[in-house]
Amino acid sequence: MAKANRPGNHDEGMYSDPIAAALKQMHDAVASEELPDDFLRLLDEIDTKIASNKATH
Amino acid sequence: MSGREVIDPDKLFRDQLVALLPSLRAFSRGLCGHREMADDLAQDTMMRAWAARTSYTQGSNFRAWMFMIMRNQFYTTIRKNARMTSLDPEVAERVLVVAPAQQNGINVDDVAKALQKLPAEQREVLLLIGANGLSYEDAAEVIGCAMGTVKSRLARGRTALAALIDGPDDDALFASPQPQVKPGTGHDAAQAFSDVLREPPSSKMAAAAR
Repeated sequence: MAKANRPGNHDEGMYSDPIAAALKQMHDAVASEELPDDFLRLLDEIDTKIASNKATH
Repeated sequence: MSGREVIDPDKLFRDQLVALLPSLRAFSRGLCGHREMADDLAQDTMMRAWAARTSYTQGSNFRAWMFMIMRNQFYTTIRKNARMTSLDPEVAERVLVVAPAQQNGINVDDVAKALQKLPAEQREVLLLIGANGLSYEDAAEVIGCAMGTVKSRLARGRTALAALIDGPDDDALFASPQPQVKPGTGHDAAQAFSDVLREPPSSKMAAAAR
């Protein structure tokens, strides 16, 4: 995979631009939040479906 | 016993989804500008992606595939729900980020607020490339347009954002044209930001006014 396609890949040069740096900071602030319970519940549902599929195969 | 574990494709998909959730939530927050709406969109995207998991080709660009689902769902939702398009930017400013306010002399809250005033087509490009670090190619794949369109929207969005943050500057209305964005992919995305940054402040306003 190309470097530019990797998650979190940001060319250092981009952050000499304060707006790009601010955008990244906004992203990182949300990304570092703890996952709300609603998301965890959905993941539990997915896990249940995976387990159920496994049991039937 | 072979010693080789058989990889469950559903489990693999689930793990990729979990790893991407922070970025999905961040992209959604930037698109919607509202925490609850954004999390609704992110959860909707999760479940739609799960339901469509057999159409995803393992090894292809999972992040672009997921962002594409989210983006499509975002536009579907705003067509149905005028609340998202009429979101008060003042509210967006308060809910978008809880982060240190200052970044290299620019107030992050100002950027968050200004971002919500941009057309969605410019906002999404800034979020995909500027915030998420996607290449031009990947952003074009997510949006479903040509790379040249992505570059153009990025430059216009960056310029308009700068103008919104800087505030009105009447002298700028008669300034020089916007610089050309060079062709290319990953590193050029960074270059596009830098090119626009090097413009004199006055030309930013002129480009935004076009």
